[in-house]
Amino acid sequence: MVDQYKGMVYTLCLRILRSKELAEEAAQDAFVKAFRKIASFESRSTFKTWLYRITYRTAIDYGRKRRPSVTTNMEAISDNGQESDSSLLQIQKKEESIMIQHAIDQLREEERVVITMYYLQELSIREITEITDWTQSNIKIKLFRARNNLREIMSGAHYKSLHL
Amino acid sequence: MITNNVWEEQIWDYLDGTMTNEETERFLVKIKAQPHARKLLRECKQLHSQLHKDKAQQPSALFVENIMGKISTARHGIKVSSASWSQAGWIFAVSAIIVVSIAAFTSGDSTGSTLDGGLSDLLVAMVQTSFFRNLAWLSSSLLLLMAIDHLVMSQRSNQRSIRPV
Repeated sequence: MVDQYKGMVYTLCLRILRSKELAEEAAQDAFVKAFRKIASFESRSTFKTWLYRITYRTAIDYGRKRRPSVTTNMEAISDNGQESDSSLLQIQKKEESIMIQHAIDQLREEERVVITMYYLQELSIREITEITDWTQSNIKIKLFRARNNLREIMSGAHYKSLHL
Repeated sequence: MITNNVWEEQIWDYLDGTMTNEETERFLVKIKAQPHARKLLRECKQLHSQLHKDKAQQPSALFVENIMGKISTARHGIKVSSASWSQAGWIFAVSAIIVVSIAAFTSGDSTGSTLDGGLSDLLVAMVQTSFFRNLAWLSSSLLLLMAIDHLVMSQRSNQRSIRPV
């Protein structure tokens, strides 16, 4: 279970908390909670949705309790750079990935959550509702705003300056 | 005139695949005549594709190990206390030896000791000092506390249950 979901769980925590250390701690805590509550898991939702709900709540709690010193996802990405293949395509892909991470980092917490769940975790609006308890229309609005803001960030001066 | 927001809404619906076939056809016809909207579509398409390529980040190498440790601690949390109980076996043994020795020296006739008379008298005199009496009290109290701790922990261990996956 941990091996299969660790990346997704950790990334969701990282997107919410924007701190590698805190995200790792929260993700571990989420898995321990899931392990403890596994008996209460009913097949009303999928296992993935159930696990992300625990993760989401844990990360939000961590964020409330501890305001971290923000080490952005961008740092996390550069630390994770383990690719030995340094071909131009790889570098370009990595750059693009860093840019998008950086842009996501600048969104509001709720927008970061929606974007991560919708794109990275490929959850439907209905599934995001189950996880966050937000209404479907609310999620659609957040998603719209998040994409709009992302587009502006990506095409804006900041994005260009990073490309220079 | 369609505003930017409306165009953007339609573009995202188109990219998300939530439009019906008829709506898609109408949208494509409409957007052909709007260079500004087409530019917007290009930007959104690029962002959409980049977001889809976004990959999950991986935690540190010790991540799984740490979780397993936490789960194990949670599952055997009380047994860890039991482990500390056994680790404290030395304290238990030393306490027991002190209590038994003091009891042996203070009860019984010192003349019956196999030890040399002078040494035996010296030991009895030492044992009867307030320091050794206090030590005996302390050791007995420690033994009692450890026994209570062990009983309480055993009971809590039975109450707590964590089911494995």
